[in-house]
Amino acid sequence: MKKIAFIPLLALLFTVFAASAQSNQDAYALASQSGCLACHKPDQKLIGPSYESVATKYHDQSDAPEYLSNKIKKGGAGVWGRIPMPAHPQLSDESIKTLVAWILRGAPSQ
Amino acid sequence: MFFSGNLIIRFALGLLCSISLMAYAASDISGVVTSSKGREAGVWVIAETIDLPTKFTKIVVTNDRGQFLIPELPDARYQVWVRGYGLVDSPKVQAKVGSNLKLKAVIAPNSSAAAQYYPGMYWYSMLEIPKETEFPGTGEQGNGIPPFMKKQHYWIDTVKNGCQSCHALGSRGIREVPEFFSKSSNGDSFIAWANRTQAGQAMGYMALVLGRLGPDKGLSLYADWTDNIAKGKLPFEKPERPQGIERNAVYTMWDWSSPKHYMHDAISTDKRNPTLNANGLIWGAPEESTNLVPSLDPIKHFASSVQMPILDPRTPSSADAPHGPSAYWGDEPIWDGQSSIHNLIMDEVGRVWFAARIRPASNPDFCRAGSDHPSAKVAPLNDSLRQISMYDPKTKEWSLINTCFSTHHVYFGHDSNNTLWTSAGPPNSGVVGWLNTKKYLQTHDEQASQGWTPLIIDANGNGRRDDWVEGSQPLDPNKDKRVMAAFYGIQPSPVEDVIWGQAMDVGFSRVDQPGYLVRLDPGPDPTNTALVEIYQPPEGTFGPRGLDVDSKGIVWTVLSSGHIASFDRKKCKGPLNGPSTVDGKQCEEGWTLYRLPGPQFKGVDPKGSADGAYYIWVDLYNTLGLGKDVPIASSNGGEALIAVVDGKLITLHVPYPMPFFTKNVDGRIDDENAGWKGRAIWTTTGTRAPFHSGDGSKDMYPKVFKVQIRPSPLAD
Repeated sequence: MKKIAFIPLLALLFTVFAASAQSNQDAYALASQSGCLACHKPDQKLIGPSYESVATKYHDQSDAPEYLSNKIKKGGAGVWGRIPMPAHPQLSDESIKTLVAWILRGAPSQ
Repeated sequence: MFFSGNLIIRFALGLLCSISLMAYAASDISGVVTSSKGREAGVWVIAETIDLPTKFTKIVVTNDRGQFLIPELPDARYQVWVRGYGLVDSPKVQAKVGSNLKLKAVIAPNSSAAAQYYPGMYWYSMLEIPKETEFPGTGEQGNGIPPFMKKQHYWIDTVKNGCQSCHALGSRGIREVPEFFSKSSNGDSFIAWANRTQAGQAMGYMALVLGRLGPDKGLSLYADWTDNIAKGKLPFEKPERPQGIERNAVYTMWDWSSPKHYMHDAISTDKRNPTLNANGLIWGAPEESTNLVPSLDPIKHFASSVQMPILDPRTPSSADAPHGPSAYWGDEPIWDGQSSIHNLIMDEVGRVWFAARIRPASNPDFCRAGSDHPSAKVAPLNDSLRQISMYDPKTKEWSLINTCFSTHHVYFGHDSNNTLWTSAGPPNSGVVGWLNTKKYLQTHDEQASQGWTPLIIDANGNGRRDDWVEGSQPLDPNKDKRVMAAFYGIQPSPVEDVIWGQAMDVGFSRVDQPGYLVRLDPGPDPTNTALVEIYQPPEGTFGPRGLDVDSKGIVWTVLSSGHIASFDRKKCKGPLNGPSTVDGKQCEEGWTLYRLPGPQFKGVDPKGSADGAYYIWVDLYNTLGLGKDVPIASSNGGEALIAVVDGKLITLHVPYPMPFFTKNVDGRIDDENAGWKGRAIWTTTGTRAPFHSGDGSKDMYPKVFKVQIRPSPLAD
């Protein structure tokens, strides 16, 4: 009986994991296509901060999604150094939401 | 008594002859240039008209007596003025063909006014280059230079092959920060530079290059450079006026395409037969800016364009590239190219073949592992950034050819298959690809007509290709070794069955390996038999970019250390295969160097120059008039074509519109019996931002340039 219950649970976990991996891959592709990766890398500073350091800085902040969405959309400067980040008006709200969620997960590629 | 009677008579006859020519030739404008200092020798006289279907300009140089003759002008009303080193532009005068003018040159009131006409490199050489002792960089918490920048030449190669390869560094639109940016940054020039490098649709690429320099360090040095210029600092050297045969040049130019677009290259004929397409259309390659391929009819002075189609509507477009606001165009994305047409070549019947993007990067299955394509079995490829397209001007039909390998430059071989050899640009693919165009045109079977090979060095020295170790693996005495490079420049040799290529240095490739010349011997089955030899430029030099091969098999390239260089493999003394050759350090004796003219960056080895040249082309058939086999470099800092004639450099500086910035050249013979008038070399504006010109802004079109050398400065 226990075995029977365990198998669907495994299947559910696998499905969740696969969906999450797909979601990460899609977000990574979106970041790449949108030019984000020209200035940011997941794990090291480039022109702007690494996504991992952004995730670390904001992971306990409840309004982080809204704050970061605003930063992406309107641009900003001064938090991570002198080089400003340009506004990205071409990105839809939905795309920005996807990107922010992915960044706050530490920007995994898989 | 300085002259004999005979000499005086000959001189008088010559003078009469030249006066006669200047006064009566119906298609010329002639005259003399004087200033408050007397006759002005070696200055340019510019005639321009908007009466023709497209704007037309012709430029000549005054002789040692200040005389000029602008030949072969179409009937129109012209504005004529004088430009020259030591001068400021003279007032423009109206003239018709047949006029004889007395032009008043204006002496520059001060050094600053004079320097506004200097080629960009005189200003760019004022950019501070970090000292040798600052390398390798110590990173963000240290000197701001990334640790992967291990030597000073990595930096120099980056500011040339990363920055100067697209922009005319030192030209007015760059050495001066637009008010748009200085205002938005409240006068903080560091922020102004951060914003201007984010402007426009190349923002991603600019970020990539800044990341290599260390963004804070790079932006600081560029900001200091323009701050110093804004405070009145001037170049520490002055250019010389044209001398000798440089005064025999005639520059003709036409507007084409659009001020929002830019060109990479142009083509006029078949490199193997320069009489093909005589007097015919010139074609252009607009790279990321548009799918509209421009053409120019130089006889009717008519510019047009044709749209290149794409295979897959999902092909990326530059219109979607992120971009910050431009000082010139605001938020408007001025580029909308999907086809990314980088380079083009004409075949033996006048069809035009392009290195162009026809689909997204992901390759079809026949390119990948598991495919039975012969080349995929050897080196499977997952991505291709550009493929091949072909336009037949006679049928007005396009062919789109789906290649597995990336293309960047395309040149035809001299074989019966008319093999189109292609370079890949960046080194990532690690292969060289080709298209058997004869087979393709007969069968339209793109898969069977293409092939590619990895670059394998005969490291075990047994004279044949064996299994290999990868570039990152140690040598194995029983195996060959792969070099993870790809060609940037490429040229099939006209004298032997080998293909010469050139791999980029670290500033462009962003791979920690030197730039090489690469000799590829294809063997009977190139996919499985090709072997390569690699050759590093000699100690103290670096950064090869582009190459061509002369009729003796000597290879010519340009180096970002500030040189034109030739490499003659016949001079090599040591072994050219085997384990000692895997680093490419053999045969330093094969190289000959020619320093590019002009200043060097301060504190950098003065054996080099601050000039950077994009490419080099060999005039195999004397289409210019400086002789057969003359190499001609596209000097981007010198704003010139620089030819090597009998070991000496001839600088053909095109003074208008500033900056002359070109990436390729080709030469055509329109009429073999017409002397200098029947032959010319052709090129186009290559900067990505024609609007940076000091001679215009958003009204500045890319141009087609025709360059000729006549027997004397007054020849008609």
